[in-house]
Amino acid sequence: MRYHVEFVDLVLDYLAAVEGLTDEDRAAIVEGVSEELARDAEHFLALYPLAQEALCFRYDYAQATPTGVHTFDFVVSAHHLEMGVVTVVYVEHSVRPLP
Amino acid sequence: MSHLLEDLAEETSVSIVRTANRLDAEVQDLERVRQEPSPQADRVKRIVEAARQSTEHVLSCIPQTEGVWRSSVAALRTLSAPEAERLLRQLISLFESGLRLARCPRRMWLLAEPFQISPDRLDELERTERRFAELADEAKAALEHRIRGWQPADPLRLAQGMQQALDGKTTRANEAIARFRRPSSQGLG
Repeated sequence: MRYHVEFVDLVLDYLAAVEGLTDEDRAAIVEGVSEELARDAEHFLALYPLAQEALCFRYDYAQATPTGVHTFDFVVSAHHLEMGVVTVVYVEHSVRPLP
Repeated sequence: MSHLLEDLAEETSVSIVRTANRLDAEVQDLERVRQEPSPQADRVKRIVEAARQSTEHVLSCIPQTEGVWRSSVAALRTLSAPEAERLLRQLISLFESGLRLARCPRRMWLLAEPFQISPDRLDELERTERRFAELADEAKAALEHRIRGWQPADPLRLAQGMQQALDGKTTRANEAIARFRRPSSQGLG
């Protein structure tokens, strides 16, 4: 089953404000995250549930750019998983400069 | 159900360890055979037969292991935290044993190389080895996530994001991509 993936505005605003990324990088991140979650959301929910929110799970994604490797930790809500929808509700970011 | 899965993972793991031990012993025996003064054709035949049989066996282990993994992933959501951790530890043991097993046939084929014998099904053996390694890494990451109990750096922003989801303040993936990728994009800010 493939899931529909949605993003809350806060997450998109956060991504827009991350320094060292182009808009093309941001589009690629959203595309990559959406593709993987659409395919495997249930798998990630089983493996990485949040202790404090049983119907949410953690999901991480890395994007290499000329400025470094950007790592994003997302929290995804699976409250509507049965209806085929997952929502990305949180993101935090770190960057590791290229050697 | 958790006990059944744990037992299945353990039984599979024990069987794989036992087989890996047997194949280790066979590799050592073949190393000795390779240097024997007997006719070369006999030695080559013995090594190739063993390599082929062990290759066949190792490749047949993957469907069984994948079945245990699929059942376990499906069950994890229904297990208590200690049960899930126990199962994940058992799975790690299974996958690491599988990785050790998967390396044995290649060691046998290496013994055949000086006799100009090319290994059979080398691509499949490499895929099997990679798959056991991937499964071990995935089970380790899931266990570490549960043990460390990941917390967001900004819990307030997480709560706000949850509220936005409840309020329907969301954007579909294709629209979000289009907003960043639009011509002369100025970002969302």
